[in-house]
Amino acid sequence: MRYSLILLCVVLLASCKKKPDEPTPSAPATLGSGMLVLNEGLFQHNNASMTWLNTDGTAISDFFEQKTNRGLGDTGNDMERYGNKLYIIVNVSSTIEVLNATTGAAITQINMINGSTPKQPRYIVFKDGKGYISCYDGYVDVLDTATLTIAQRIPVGANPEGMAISNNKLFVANSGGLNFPDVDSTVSVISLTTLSEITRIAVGPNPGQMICDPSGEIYAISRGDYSSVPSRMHRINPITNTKEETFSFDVSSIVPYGNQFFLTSSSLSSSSIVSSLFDPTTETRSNIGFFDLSQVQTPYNIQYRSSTNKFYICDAMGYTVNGFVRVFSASGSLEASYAVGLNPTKIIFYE
Amino acid sequence: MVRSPLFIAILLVSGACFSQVPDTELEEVLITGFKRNELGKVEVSSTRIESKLAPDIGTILVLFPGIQVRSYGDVGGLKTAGFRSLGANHTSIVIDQQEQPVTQSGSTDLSTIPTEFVRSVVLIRQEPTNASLPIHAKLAGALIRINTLHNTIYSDTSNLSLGFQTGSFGYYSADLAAKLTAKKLQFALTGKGRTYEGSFPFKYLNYQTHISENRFNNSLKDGTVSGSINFFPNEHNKFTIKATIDGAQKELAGAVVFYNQTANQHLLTSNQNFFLGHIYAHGHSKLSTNFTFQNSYLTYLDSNYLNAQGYLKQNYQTRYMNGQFQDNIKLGSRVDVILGTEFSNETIIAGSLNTQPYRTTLNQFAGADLLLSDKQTLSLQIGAQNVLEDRDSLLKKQWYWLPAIQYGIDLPLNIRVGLTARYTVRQPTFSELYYQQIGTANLKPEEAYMVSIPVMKKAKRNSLYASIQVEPFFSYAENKIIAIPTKNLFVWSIQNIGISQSTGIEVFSETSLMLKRSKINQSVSFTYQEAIDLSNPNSSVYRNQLTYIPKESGSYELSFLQKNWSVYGLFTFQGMRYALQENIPSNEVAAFYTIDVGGSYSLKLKSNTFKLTASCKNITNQYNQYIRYFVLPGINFQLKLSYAL
Repeated sequence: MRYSLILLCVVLLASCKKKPDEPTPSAPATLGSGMLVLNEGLFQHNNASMTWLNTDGTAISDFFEQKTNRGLGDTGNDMERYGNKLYIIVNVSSTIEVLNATTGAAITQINMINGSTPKQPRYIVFKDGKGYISCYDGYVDVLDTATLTIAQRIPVGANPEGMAISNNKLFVANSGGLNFPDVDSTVSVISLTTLSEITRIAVGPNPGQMICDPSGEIYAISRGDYSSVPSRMHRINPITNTKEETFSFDVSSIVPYGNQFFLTSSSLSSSSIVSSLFDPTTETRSNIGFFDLSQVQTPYNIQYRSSTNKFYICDAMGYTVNGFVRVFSASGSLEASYAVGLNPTKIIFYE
Repeated sequence: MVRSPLFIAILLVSGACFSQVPDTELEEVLITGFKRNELGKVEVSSTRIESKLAPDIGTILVLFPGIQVRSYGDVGGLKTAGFRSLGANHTSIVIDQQEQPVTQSGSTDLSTIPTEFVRSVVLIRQEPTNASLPIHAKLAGALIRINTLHNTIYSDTSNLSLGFQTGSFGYYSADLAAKLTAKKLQFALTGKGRTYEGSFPFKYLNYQTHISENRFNNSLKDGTVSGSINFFPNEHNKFTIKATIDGAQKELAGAVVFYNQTANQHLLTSNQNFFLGHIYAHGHSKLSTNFTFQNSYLTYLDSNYLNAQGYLKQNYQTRYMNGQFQDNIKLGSRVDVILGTEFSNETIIAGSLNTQPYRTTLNQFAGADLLLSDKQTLSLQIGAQNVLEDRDSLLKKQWYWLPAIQYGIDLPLNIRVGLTARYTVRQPTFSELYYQQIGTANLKPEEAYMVSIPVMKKAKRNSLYASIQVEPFFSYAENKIIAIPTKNLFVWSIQNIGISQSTGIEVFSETSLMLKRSKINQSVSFTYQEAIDLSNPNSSVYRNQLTYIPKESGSYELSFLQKNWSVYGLFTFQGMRYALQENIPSNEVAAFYTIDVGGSYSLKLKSNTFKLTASCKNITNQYNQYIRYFVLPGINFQLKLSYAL
């Protein structure tokens, strides 16, 4: 018996031996050229994170933690720079983290819990010193960027997601995703003068992304039911507040690309993703399949950077393993891959 | 005429009726050589179970080698048991003769099974000719049998016992057990109710800072009542009727979410279970027939859900029926065979499923225990499993052959060595098949191949008894059913894409030292396993350790028993696990250990026995978690006063 006890003790002691910590590179005190990547993390794992990528490709994977000495929270959904502040929308933690955009230092954390109900913020857009935050509880919150307080709540449709601003109006996609399969299919139009809803425009089931083209017209994507009802792109006239066109091809995401849109669509019957270009002026689609996305396992977000004329694709891989930022030339050749965190979802470029 | 062991047990029970419970069990240990089915078998007795004042049976199963208990909370928190890195759906939990229905989720929630009425818990590897084990359970990857006082083989129960227990964080429970054994009848009634406030302090690590908070939304109220009648009209027949009703109302604390402590989910459950059994034994034959019916309701409420109603309410009703017949025949002194057939039908009614599914399973079973020589045994079984179910209006019919074999040989120095091999499948659950948006109706069953080489040694020297069992094992699972995000993180899909392999060793050892009026016991359990993901050679997680499977886990228990009192100390250890597939530091869940101590004192006044039991759990106040952010309490206390007549 004593042998089994000795064996147990040896194994337990060996198990308890702490591995030496690997040195973590320090985040720069001032953010020069590089990229700041928001990694969404995984639901209920508190592992949303931010990665700083230097131009030489070195990564600081715990950027937020180094700057704030705490974790970002659960499900980082959106990140925008406005003025000299960074705003990070953390969905499940129901917080907005505000950082100094130059240094990354923490300014404040805005609590987004209404009584005992988390508002579950999703996205943020800005105009004239105000931030507009879509919240899954059916409101758009108005953030005063000077005082960093919520000044007002504007009721919209169910589970609002993407937003776009044009003609001094805020267009909000009401997804209704938490009522699935009885999803919403409208876009709320909010006057930025009165900060109230003017009307709702029916587009298609489960609206998500909203984009404004160079002429000020609004494009919305309705995501369907991910099964038999396909995702579609719709054009909204921001003056008449009406839907003027629904395009007959599948569209999963819209990426502003100069005066054009870079579109992707994912096939319901296979895992393939098809790229194309769309000219909002002529409303024609071209170059279908010109961009080989087969080198990206799961394109979770695509951004175009005009200063480098390159596409930056957040590859979420299998969603449960760390992802990559993949850099493609404008003609679609893969130039570089940078390891980042779990489910990279947004990049802010520092020139 | 050779009477079956069952009837010998019945006679023992009859003779012992109205006898008193010994104050503290000081049973003599006898070395009688190896029994046929001992290889790999591990048993924990009621003495060890009672002393822990454990809130549920899940807390006890950490004492077993090879068993991984995933605990999502303390009292009332979901607990499931997996075996050798196979999912909990491969583990069958049998209470007395009944396999626990798992229609909805596919695995038993161990937090709902009380320990007060348990007389033993046994991890069984292979007992094909045991007619009291359900056929489906014998075909599973692992079988854990929980024997309660409703079972007629136990004679150590008093006529009446009452217990009141209180503990930290607002825990109160009361239990009652009554058993009356007459010449041809045994009545048993058990019941337990408990309430728990559940607001315990905990700490968690937010980057490099330890955050202290109090758990909330963690209360529980539940109760269970069981009644059984065993009727023996003559020495050949035994009839059993048992009915159980239980219900629970609990808050679901869930995982800790940074900066957001507003979870407000509730679960309401109720079950009605009815069992009817008959055993006929005559000559060399024993026929066992039984029928089970269970009706269950489950309601999940989330009052913070942001849909149009402003809350989420999902109702599930499941019905389970099972009937089986087994005939065990002894052919001489060396051959024991069994034939059996089993029918079960499961249905679930729920608005959140894509359809109203049912499943009918027919199991044909044949098995044999052969005494090849005085030192060699061979145990064989094969099941033919036929599954019929309505999947999206297409009737699916599946056949599976499920063989298992165990060979054992006695070697010198009282060593027994064996070889076990098994092929098993587990069917996809109704949630995996039909849950809205993520369910996949064309799932195949998950398959597992298991091989092990158990080695046992027993020794007795004067009053010292010792046994050790070492079992290297290998298992391979394919078509593993896993949930993965597809279109985006909110659109998941259940798929048959997993392949895993597990290689390891289990060690289980018990030592007892009998003194004049006391006894010292120690028990060691240890498991080492490398359980790796082989799903995709091109993946970054290829050959990574599977999530929440620690390489090392174990326990050590030391107890001292005297006539009127006893004390124990228990050390349990869980090695580092990974919360996600990638074996990287950010996915590590820290290893932890707990130390529990406790003791009891019994006072006998004429025919009345009063017993005071106390335990202090996690005395070093380790803040720990099996599953990341599903926190467990630090130091806590339990005190129980019981009375037995």
